[in-house]
Parts: sequence; structure tokens; C-alpha cells
Amino acid sequence: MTCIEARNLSKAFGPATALDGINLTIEEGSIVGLIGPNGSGKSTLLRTIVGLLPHEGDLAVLGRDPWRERAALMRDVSYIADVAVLPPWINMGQALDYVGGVHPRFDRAKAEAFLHRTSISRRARVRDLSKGMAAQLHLALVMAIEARLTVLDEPTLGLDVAYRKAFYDALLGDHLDHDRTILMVTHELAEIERVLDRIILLDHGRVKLDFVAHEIDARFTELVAHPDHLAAARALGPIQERLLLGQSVFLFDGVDRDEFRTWGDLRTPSLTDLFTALVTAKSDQNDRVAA
Amino acid sequence: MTRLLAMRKSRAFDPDATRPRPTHPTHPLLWTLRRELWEHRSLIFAPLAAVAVALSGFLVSAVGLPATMQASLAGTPSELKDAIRRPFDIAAVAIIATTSLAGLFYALGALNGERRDRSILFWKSLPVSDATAVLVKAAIPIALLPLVAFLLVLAAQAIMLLASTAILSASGVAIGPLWGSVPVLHRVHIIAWSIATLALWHAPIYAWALLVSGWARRMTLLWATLPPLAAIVFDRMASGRWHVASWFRDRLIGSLEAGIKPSATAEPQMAVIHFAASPGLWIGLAITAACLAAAVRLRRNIFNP
Repeated sequence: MTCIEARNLSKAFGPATALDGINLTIEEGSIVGLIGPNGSGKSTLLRTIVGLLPHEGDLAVLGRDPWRERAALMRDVSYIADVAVLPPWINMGQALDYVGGVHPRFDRAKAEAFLHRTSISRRARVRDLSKGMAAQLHLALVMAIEARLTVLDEPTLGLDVAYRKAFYDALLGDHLDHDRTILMVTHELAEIERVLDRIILLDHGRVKLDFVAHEIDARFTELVAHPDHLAAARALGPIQERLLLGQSVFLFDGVDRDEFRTWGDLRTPSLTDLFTALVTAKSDQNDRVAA
Repeated sequence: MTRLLAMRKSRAFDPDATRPRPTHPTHPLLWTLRRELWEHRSLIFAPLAAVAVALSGFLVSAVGLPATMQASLAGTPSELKDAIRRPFDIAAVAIIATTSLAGLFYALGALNGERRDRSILFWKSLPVSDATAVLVKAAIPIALLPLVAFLLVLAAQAIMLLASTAILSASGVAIGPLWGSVPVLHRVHIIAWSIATLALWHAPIYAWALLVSGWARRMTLLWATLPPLAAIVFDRMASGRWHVASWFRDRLIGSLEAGIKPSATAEPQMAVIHFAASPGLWIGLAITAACLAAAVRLRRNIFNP
């Protein structure tokens, strides 16, 4: 079943275009990572999906129009807009009571179990917690909601690596138990790569790249080319060419490795490599246009 | 991780692998109200402080109570009644004024604070509509605080009555006149009616404050009071009269004129029909509805606090 369906989704803030005709279908049960440079429209897209922003074009989330039916939609959704938005006066007990009182899918025992592993005191107010502890409290609240769709905007910002790992493991375990759809913005590419089903790269409010995670192998190749084959490599249309320690490195998308197996060393780029390549490729292009 | 990935793949062939998601009943209105009271504890403390101040002032004056009563007993019955009632009325006015002020300052901050600390992004991540949030915030000064004021007035006056009774009895002064005229025994309906009509009359003030608090980034008190002041000054300069000023004066204290029928000889009466038929009530309620609708709209459109 379709969880999110966007057709020609656009959003402008005055003269600035934040989303520029996005087409997207996300099936229920997938874990999707939304990546992109700063200001590429990731948070705007998430906020449109949870009904915080009006939009142009068609958007259906779990069969509803998020802008018109935000409160009804949120009964099936959990969302973190930012890790630093818990009210400063609230304490853990009040937060558990409140979320349990308004969200029909909140599982208090589960939240308590998450919090048991932290050192947060039950009576301490958020303003007295460290940034990381406030984030842990927020994550515990949201992860304990048995939502059909979980939307996370940089959920692990400011958390230590051990907690991040525990969080991603919990996220994946939950996903397996409940067939939850997860849509997540993050910059911690190396850490989420193993968790994601699908990766969407946004740039300038458009979907620049959309691929299934385990396809990176099959689809992308980096060639550290021998000087004799530079021209031939360029002719195959690499999506990026860069210089590394005096050698030319080409990045190919969907080109059969057999075409250039003998032209140099081959390797599979990591998600971080891909991200950097695609984002830099754009600024190179811009430089060229500017020049 | 490999195991998890294997589980994930196998699930595709096993449709029963997912557990049904539990849901439980929710009460968004009730919990929204609760969290407002958690955040704004001064809404309860300020009226309690007013009670404490009124009571301690009364207790200090109570030393001289037997002598005052003796002197009043020599006057006319209506002078006696007035003398007995005066401290009770002052306590009631102090408590009502405090809850009104607390309600006004609450309304001026209610939609502003959640934007300033960005917690609106947390509140809006949960299934509570903007209309629910705004209506609860409006109900606090318009409905909840008047109820608190009523209960506190009764409690304070009851304590004053018991303390007076004890002091007078100890001094051998008759308590009959006291029990025969104290408001808490004989005017409960007038107290309740005055508080209720005042709250309805002031509803547009609270709704306006709420709207300004949803719109202004800071200094909400200034933005809430400048337009009325500007209107008064403009009217005075342009027409040379105080039309607008008298309209605002009526908005502040007009509920007494509209809702209570005074009497020189007998007890004041509730003027229910006169109040219900007064244009001021309905104009005020229309302004309230318009301000609240605008506040809901403003809150709905906030995405980047």
C-alpha cells in the first residue's frame, strides 16, 4: 500500500522556491533516507508531509491531505521536527502523561523502557537537562508511538555514537515488528547507510537521485583511471570527474563495469562518496556557468 | 545486522509477521488544558496570593472588629449592613481583579511563548488540532479562571465569616446581624452572576490578547494596548469627543450596568433579560469569535517559529 504519494509537489516562500515539482511514491513499510545539502528542501518536504505547510500540487499521506487533516493524520504518524523543541518547563513524567493522553498509539511501557537506559531523572525539567538528554527524552517519546509513519528530521543531532547506534537498532527492530514506514533526514550518512531501504537525494527542491540502497553496488562505480584512458572514460558520460592525488577519478551511474574494467582501478562508492560527488558536481557546474 | 536484514526479507513472504498496532482512547481537550496549567502555575498561585493578602488584611483589622460592630449597631440597618459587607466585598473584588489580570497576562503570552521556545513544533507533532489548542487557551481566562475566582471568593468569605464569628463571640457581641447580611450566605447568586457576566463581557479582551500573542514576536502587551489607545487619541483629535474612550470604558466595567439592576432600598437583582438583550454582549461575543478564528488561522500557518 502507498504511504506517501506526491505529484508535482511545490512550495515557495515568497520568491524563494523550496520544493520544485517533486514526484515521489513511498510504499508502506520502507525505510527511506532523505539526504541533500543544506537548504535543498529536505525539512520543507518533511513539514509538508506532516501537514505543517500548505503546498501546491497533489500530496496524499496515508490517504489524507496533510494540510487539511493534520490532526487526524497525526494519529497515525510520529514526527520529530527538531531535537530541541521539547518545552523547557516539562518534566519526564508530565511528558509521558501528556503524549499518552493525546496520542492513541503511544505505548508508555515502551517509552519507560527506553528511558530506563538513560540517566534522565524523572522529576528534572527539560531546561535542566543537557542537550543530549533532552534529545533522548524526545526520541523515547516518539519511538514509543506505534505509528504507521515515522518522520524524523535529523533525529540524532548532538547524540553520542553509542546512543546513535542504539537508536538506529531500535528503529530497525521496530520497523520489523510493526511494518512501520520511516522517512528520515540525516547527515550521518555512514551510520544510516546500513539501515536504509531507499535513498532520495534532494537538491534545489528537486529529486536529484532516488535509488534502492542495495543497488549502490550494481549502479554506481568509481574508476581511478589510467592516464591513457581519460578521453575514453569521459566519453562514457561520468556523473563526476575529480582529481585525487594527481589521478583522475570518474563516477559512473548505470554504466556496465565491463565497459571500463581494464582502464584502471574500480571500486564501489560509499554513500558519503556519492553524496559529496553529486553535491560537488553541482557546484562545479555552477562555477563553470559563472565563469 | 545481517540477521535483521534476513528477517526483513523473509517478512515479505509472511503477511502475519506484523503485530496489530495498539490504540487507546485519547482526550486532547483535557490534556491540553492540563499542560497549560502545568506550564502556567501562576494562574492558580496569583489568585491564592490575593486570597492570602485579603485574609491577612482582614485578620489585622479583626482586632478592632468588636468595637466597629458596636458602633455600627447604633446606626441605621442599612448602614449596619454596608459596614458588615464592606470587607467581604473588598476581598471579592481583589480576588476577581487578580484572576482577571492573571487571565489577561496569560492570554498575552499563550501563543507567543510556544513560538519563542519553539515548543510549538512539539505540540504540532501530536494529534491536537490548532482549533483545540486555541480554544483551550481561550477557555482558561474566559471560563476556568472565573470559576476559580468564584470558588476562592466563597472560600475567603467563609473564612472571614468564621473568624468574625469567633472574635465577636469571644467579645460578647451579637453575631445575628453579621450572619444576617454577609454576601457569602445571602448573595451567592449575585457573586456568581457578576463573575459570569464580567467574564462574558471581557471575552473579546482576552480573545484580542490571544490574537496579538499569536501575531507579535515580542512585546505583546504593547501591541495589544497601542491600537485601542491610538483609536482613542484619533477620535479625540478628530471629533473632539470621547466616543471611543467611553466604548472601551464600557467594555471594562459595562457588565455591571448591563447585568445588575441596582436598588436604593432593596437588594440588587440579576437583570438576566436586560443582560441577554444588551448589544454590548453580542458585539463582544462576535469580536471574540472573530479574534479566535484569526488566532487559529495564525497558529495553523506557523511553520518556522
